[in-house]
Amino acid sequence: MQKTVMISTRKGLFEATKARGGWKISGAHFEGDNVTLMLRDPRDGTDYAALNHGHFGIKLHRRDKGKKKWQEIDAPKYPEKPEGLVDKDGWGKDVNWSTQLIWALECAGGAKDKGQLWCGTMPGGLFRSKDRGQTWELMESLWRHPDRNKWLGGGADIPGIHSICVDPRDSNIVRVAVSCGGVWRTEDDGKTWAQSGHGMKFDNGPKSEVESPDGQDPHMMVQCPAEPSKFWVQHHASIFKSVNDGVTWTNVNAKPSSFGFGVVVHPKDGDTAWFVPGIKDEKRIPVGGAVVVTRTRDGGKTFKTLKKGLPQKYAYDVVFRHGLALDDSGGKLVMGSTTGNVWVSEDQGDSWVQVSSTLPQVYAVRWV
Amino acid sequence: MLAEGATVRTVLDVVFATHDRLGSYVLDDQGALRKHMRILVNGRAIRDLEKQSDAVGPHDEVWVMQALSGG
Repeated sequence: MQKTVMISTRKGLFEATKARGGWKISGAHFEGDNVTLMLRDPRDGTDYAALNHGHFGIKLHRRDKGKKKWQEIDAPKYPEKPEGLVDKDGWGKDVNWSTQLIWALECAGGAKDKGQLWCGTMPGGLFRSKDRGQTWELMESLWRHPDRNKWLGGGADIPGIHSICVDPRDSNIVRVAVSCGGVWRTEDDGKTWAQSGHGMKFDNGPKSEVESPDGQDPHMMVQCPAEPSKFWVQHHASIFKSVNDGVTWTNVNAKPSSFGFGVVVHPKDGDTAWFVPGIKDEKRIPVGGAVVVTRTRDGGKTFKTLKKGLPQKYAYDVVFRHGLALDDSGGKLVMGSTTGNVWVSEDQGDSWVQVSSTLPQVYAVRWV
Repeated sequence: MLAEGATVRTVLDVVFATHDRLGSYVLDDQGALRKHMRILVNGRAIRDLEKQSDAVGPHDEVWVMQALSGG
């Protein structure tokens, strides 16, 4: 059972655990450093932490199971850009072949493939490691796909891969979501890739752009482990779901808003998912200054607004795409916000308790 | 430390060879100077930020500095 929450923030990686007296911050790593994401590989207990030093670049650290000490390992590195190559993104800007953010870290392969990892980055490269992050290989097949030049930055200046779903039925099938570049699918372990974001659309703009899958901005994508044909996407324009392996997507509307960044799906029930809504899209604050979570249990036909224990006045917390997490049992949620608040729910979101109100800006949370 | 080389980059490479991972802190994946880094040779900022091809003499002093900012 997962009992600890790992919280990646602007100024460190923090642990929260439940003790007598309730939930508390119980440990800190990399204090003062910008930790953007962490992963614990349940197959061997190894922890990985991604740092963005800004001036010094993107770094990756690893910690063996049960150990306190972290060791810096190589971060994914782009190959040398061929001399004379014109490589522009969807805005027409030159692409800098250099890792600028580790935006997704997930286990690759199946239960027996210890140490295999996927890593999604800005400016859009997908990397794989087969040796616990010791070495990384760029997925050239996706990076050199001609449609990659249609990808563009959304909220960030440059495109990036933030969601990676390894199919539990066959780990050769992987889907990744790109802001902004739609959803990409491989069925042959990365040898070939195809667009899989058909049906998503923006709500304003020229028709050719609004419905073009290559320009879609899925903020976050999740796949139900027990019902793997069911996917949810919190998209820039709305919520989308797929019940056919992510081949096509349909729009779902929620109150008080369908805008947000994070989404999680129940591990056994693909019709149950949670979102953190906000005012779309130039404001990006909770509706009415009240932090709420929305939950559907019927595949998006209806949503319940959950707010017990969450601030309902003058609250301007935004929960980023990796800032909402569900544990493996599907019973416990955690979310961390841009204003350093962290809340835990142990009843599927019906009620929440505050873990901290004093942390730095939260980028990502995970149950471990 | 003392390091020999005819250009800033060759000097840097000598230093990087003795300090594991240092190179990735100063240069990006393409070998360009990271954007908050500055290199000075005898007090003058180098001009070739992409390849650091600026000349270095036998007794020149090379400084690698970074600007730290933000909150």
